[in-house]
Amino acid sequence: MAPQERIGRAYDLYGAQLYRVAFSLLQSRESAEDAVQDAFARYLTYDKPFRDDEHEKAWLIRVTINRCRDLQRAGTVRAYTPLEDLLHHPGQPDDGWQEGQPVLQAVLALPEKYRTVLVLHGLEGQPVDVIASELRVTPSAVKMRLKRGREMLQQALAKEDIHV
Amino acid sequence: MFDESTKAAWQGIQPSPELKEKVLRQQPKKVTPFPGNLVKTAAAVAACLIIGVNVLGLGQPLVEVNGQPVSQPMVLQSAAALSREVSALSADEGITVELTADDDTDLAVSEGRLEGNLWTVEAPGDYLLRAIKGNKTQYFLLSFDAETGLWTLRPES
Repeated sequence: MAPQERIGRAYDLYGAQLYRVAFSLLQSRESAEDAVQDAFARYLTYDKPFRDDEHEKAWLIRVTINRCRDLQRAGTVRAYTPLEDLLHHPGQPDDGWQEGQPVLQAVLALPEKYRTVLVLHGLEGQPVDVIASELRVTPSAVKMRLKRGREMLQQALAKEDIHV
Repeated sequence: MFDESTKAAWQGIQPSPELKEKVLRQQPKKVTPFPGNLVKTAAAVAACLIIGVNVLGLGQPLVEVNGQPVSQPMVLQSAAALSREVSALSADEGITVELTADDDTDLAVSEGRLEGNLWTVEAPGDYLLRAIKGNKTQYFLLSFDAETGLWTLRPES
């Protein structure tokens, strides 16, 4: 498969998911796009075969997360983007985004280590062992973060009288 | 964990259409190989250095991990891939390293717990291990690379 064809296929399969993961970490539309673009640049030069699509996706997620951390460390994350700017698409019918927004807002306000696992597991449907591989931590650490993250989320939402 | 409306809202977060164009415009970077002579020279210099280090290192305190002497940077198993010799703590990204040293080598660490031959640190960072044998001291640096997510143990000169 030609490189451009390969990257186009991968983008169609995983691009939106990588963008959401990057946004959850950076909360900047532009920087999330930078991180995804950089991840695909790495993908283009990565010449080892992937076992399957899941392995390919997990690799891309890991690289995207690492790139996000690079941007955070370098202090080059661009302007903050409010969540509603991404959820609300002018001219399109309301597909329930207003209902889901307070919960997502609370997720994005959690400390990063808990936010990341809640996003990957609860919103993106990644299995615990795959998340462990992506974050380079043990599955038990992922489970602990999920448990603590859920508790923190419930506490935050209880203050708003919202229950998940 | 999340109801359908929350998941639907989340899935509604999409990148701009321009992102795909930017990604597709990227070209693979060309790698320029080193000139052959330079490679040969570098290999010869490296061989001399290795021999020199080995000769000078005789009698130095020896520390082993996973049955391998730590004579050069050694990548330890990541937390996601545990082994008998190197295992991660259940608490996040700390690590426990099983060290092996001669009976007459004393080990001490800058931080963390050294219980028997198990060295445990609780969080990513840089940590020093000191090995003393007779009048010779060797330091090793245990460090976590956030980019690769790997722990490395290396001898410090």
